Amino acid sequence: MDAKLKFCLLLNSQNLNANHLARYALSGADYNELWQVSKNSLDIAEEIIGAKHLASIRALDKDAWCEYEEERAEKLGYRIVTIFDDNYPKSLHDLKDAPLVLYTRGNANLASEKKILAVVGTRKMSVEGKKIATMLGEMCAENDIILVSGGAAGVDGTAQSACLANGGEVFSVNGTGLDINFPAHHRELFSRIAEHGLVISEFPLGTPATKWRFPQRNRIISGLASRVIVVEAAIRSGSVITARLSMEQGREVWALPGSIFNENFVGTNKLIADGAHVFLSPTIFLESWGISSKKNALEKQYSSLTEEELLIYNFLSKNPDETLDNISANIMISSAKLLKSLTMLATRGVVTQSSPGRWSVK
Amino acid sequence: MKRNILGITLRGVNAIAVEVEVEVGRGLFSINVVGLADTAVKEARERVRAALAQTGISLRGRISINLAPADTPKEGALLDLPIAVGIATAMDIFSVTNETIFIGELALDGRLRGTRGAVAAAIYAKEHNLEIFVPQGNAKEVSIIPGVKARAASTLQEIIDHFNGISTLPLIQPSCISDDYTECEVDFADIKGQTMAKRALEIAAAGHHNILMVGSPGSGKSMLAKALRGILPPLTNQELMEVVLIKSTVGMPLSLTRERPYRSVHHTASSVSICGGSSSLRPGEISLASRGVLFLDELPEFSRDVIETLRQPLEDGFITVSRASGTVQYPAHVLVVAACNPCPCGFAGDKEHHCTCSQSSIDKYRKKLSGPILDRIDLHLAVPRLSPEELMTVQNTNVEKSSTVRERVIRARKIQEERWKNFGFTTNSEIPERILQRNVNLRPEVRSFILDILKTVKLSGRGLSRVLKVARTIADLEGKKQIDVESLAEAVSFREGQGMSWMPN
Repeated sequence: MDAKLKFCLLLNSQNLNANHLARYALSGADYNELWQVSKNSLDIAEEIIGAKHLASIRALDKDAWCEYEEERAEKLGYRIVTIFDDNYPKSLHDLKDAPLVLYTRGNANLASEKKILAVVGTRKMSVEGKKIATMLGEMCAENDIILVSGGAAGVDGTAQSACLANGGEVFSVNGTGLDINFPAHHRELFSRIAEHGLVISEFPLGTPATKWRFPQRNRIISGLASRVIVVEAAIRSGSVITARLSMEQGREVWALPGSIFNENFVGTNKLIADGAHVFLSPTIFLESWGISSKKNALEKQYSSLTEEELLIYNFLSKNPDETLDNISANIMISSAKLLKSLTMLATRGVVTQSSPGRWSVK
Repeated sequence: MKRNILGITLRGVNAIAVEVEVEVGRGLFSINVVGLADTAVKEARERVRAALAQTGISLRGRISINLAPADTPKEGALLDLPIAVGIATAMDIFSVTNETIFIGELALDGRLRGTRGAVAAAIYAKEHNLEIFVPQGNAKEVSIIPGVKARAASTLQEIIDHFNGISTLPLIQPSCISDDYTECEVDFADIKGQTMAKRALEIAAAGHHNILMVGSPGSGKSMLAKALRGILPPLTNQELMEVVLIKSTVGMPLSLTRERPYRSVHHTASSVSICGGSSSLRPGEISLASRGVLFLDELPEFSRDVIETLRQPLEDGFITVSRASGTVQYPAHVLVVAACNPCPCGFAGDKEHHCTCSQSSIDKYRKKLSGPILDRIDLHLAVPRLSPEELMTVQNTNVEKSSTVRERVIRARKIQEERWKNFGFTTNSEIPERILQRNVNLRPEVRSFILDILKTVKLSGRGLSRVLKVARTIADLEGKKQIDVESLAEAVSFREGQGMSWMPN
């Protein structure tokens, strides 16, 4: 096995990163001195990475762990990319603690030239947040932007699903080994992402989901992208931490403004106050990125509505979340006729029940 | 002579004939009952002896009573009368010339007491063209069975006199049941707004479709469920017999009205009490509610077992109860009204109240309503919680009363009865799969509409069948001969694909 590959795999197994590579390189030691015992190597390696990690590495090497890892990855169809490889994303070189190894699943190009947008947000999404995440996913798909996110429940999963559903490309940076699906109900999502993008992880195969790994992988999410959008975040949330990290990385951070009465938006509102860009509409956002937005889905739907349906649509655009009776009282259509129109509009995807018994435009 | 005396024992809702054989021998006085008789039957000895003594017959000798067939368990106090008659005929007090059924419990003073199972016994008598003698207390329920030759007696003496020719007991006349309705607790006009919910209830009542109501606490689900009672159509004669049969089997007090049964079950009820069972194979709430409404409030709070046991009744209209003592089928043509919250705290999707549940607790809560159960519920309704302002401003001018809605329901029900009368069922909800395929004609634009729908709304084959049945009911309510796109769209809007999109994830 290539010495550099083995070196990276071993350091990565101990959750060590480019920092330690840099120091090792500066020391002038040979890569294979990491696992081969020689008089000098003991001191230098130990100094840089600590006795405990070194002992673990030596033990792993005794078991031929690297060879085994490579074999297993190949069997599962995963690729191993190290920091030395050509297709290692250049954008990640900005990170001091860049990952040494990226396991990938899927056929897309890791070092793609396309624009990459990171979408982060809370796991406990509100209805509003779900709408936004879906909209962002669609926006990316329609404008050939790669969407990268963490594959978690809530904003991540919703945005990724929406992007895939509209034919877009998605990267997912997971907080577990590639062979583990977390959360479990995203198993199918990850399969689809592998078909139309990449599932990425810095963690060795078999790594389970542990709390601290998720914030850690967030640096890769923002590292891969040039812009980061925070959809919905409470005041003390991982997304806010990721956002500030992104700003340090030099990425442009955008956040969506939200109602001051909703505690789920306190974090994002504060980000805006502290200098993040305000996301006012997809068109404005895209234009600032040099992309003229392609389709206006609204225009498409407007054209096929009857007069009555148009009345309903206009009313609901201005007044979301209304019950059947409220709508009926306001636009003077009988409840019975209104119910029929609403159900027809619902089956065409123009309106939907945004909360129990209440209707809004989709 | 001895072979003409028949009693009845119950197996589920069916009556099994019991031949009562009596032999009087020499020896000290004793009575022995054999034939797998249960305790109540064995205790008949005392009651029979005392009752016969009241009529002046004192017993002597070794009396053996066999209840045939010997390997069928006999239960119930309704064997008192045939045993007494058996002994009397064995002692040549009178004779019974034809096969006759006797049922009734005896009091120590010779009076006849009403028992459960009289309707089942009467149905048996009618099917086998036999005469039956019942206690006066059971006369009312027996009177609804058309064509049965039944006589009612109040005391043992009356029976003896009848057979000795001294007096004749009159035949029970078939009774006519009125269509009178008692006022329902909640009238549709009492509920403010909620037009969508009322529409869903109207469809449910018309076609006997199951309905699940999802809404926050205070949205009005319980009130709506109570209001449903007021718009249900009256029982047909056939249905009335079914209902009375079950009530009589269980021993419930009967009132002969055409009001449909309405049973409300608390989620701490045991699976046996709801579905039936126990060693005597008693019918459960779901059978007591047959042809009527079973209200399950807080559906996810019910145990997993109970929810799963609902599968068969929701699909087939009957429930099979199996125990070591045997297997029995009970009717369960029930309109299930289930209510639940959108999430454990109850406020997911609410405008004012914020949901405080974690995603995993929401998932666990929703998992309880497994896919197969939700699939078998025809109508999924989300009930909004109206804010105080909305409640105040809702229009009260054209609000319909329950009686108006009930008339539409009755009209739609009549159409269904007419359409399906040669097929053996009465409502659209009961249409079996193969008949649905052949008899529900769809216009081509409706077919292509369905194909379009299936792209966006997740429907299984079973789900689609149910949507078609509901669409058929909606078309019936509007008096339309064929299902059109509008009816289908409305039916689809009451299924999960549209109804729960506000749930996060």
